[in-house]
Amino acid sequence: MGIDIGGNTIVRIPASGVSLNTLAFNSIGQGSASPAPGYTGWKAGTTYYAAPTGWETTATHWQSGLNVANGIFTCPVAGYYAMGYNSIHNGGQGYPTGYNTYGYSAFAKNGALDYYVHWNWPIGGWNTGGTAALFSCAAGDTLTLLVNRSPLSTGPDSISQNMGMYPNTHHAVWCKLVG
Amino acid sequence: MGFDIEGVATLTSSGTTLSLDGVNNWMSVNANGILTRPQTPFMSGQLSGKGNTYNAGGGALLVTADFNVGGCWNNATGFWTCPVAGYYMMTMGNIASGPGSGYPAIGKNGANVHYTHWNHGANWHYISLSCVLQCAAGDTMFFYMFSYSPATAGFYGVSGHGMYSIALMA
Repeated sequence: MGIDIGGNTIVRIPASGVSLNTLAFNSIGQGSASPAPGYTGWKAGTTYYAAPTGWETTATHWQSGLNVANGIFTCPVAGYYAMGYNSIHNGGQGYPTGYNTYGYSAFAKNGALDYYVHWNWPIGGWNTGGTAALFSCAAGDTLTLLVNRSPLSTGPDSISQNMGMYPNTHHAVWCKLVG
Repeated sequence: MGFDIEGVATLTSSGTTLSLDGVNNWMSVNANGILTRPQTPFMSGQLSGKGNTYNAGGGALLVTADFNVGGCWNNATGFWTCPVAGYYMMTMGNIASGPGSGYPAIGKNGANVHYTHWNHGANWHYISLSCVLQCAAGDTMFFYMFSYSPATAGFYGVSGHGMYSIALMA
């Protein structure tokens, strides 16, 4: 015999575990919940790309809240969201005199750069990298991965210098509500 | 005095604790509203005693767990078995040998999920890879490496210099 609230059984016999609406525990206390806002995905393609307004995460293992056309994730509820990515980056080549030799990748919250990293390995070398961060978000906030969006107002012109990130499952981008 | 549900969930002025076995804390919300789930399946570990460079011959990396909550990780096989359906985070980081190249990867149920690579002329190259996977109960996950060259290329496997972890997020 369990306890019922509004038609949902919230406590069952120990062998069956416990269900609290979408939060369920098995018989030894290992709990999970669904649905879960977030995604793990990648961009399809065959060469490296820039994405100064949003890395188009067009393919996903799972997703809820992601616009796969532009790579923008919209937070459905207020909370803390973890976000990360890993990939290889093309180092660029043929820099004109006076131009920056750095390529940048960044997380943006509501379109504004929050955190960024860069790579600087000349003449077409592949740079392994990525980063991860936690964001405090309100419902409706957006989170995006940007590639070759410079934090400098002058701009490094890194797109035209062949800097970019490699697509397909050679990389992973993910985001998840964690609390 | 608190409120008791079948002797397994207790609501008091200092928080709520859920336990069906009467011994282990399954989930608590303390007086400040901070939620914890101590039985959450989790492992973290490292390569230990595997030599200067280690690739497991292309099979699952035999990571030695420092923590193995729930017993989901098997040191002998290098496989994690999901006890319940949910979203699992996997992270790996290590240094890869040079001169050499290879593709460190994350696998699920025997198939590649995501990978990265290094191709370094000399010295060690830092590698990291992470993702969150939606899994069913019984799914298996593992860390591995493919297409490495030379045959001795691999991660530093003596101890330290890297971390591998898996946890049920929700």
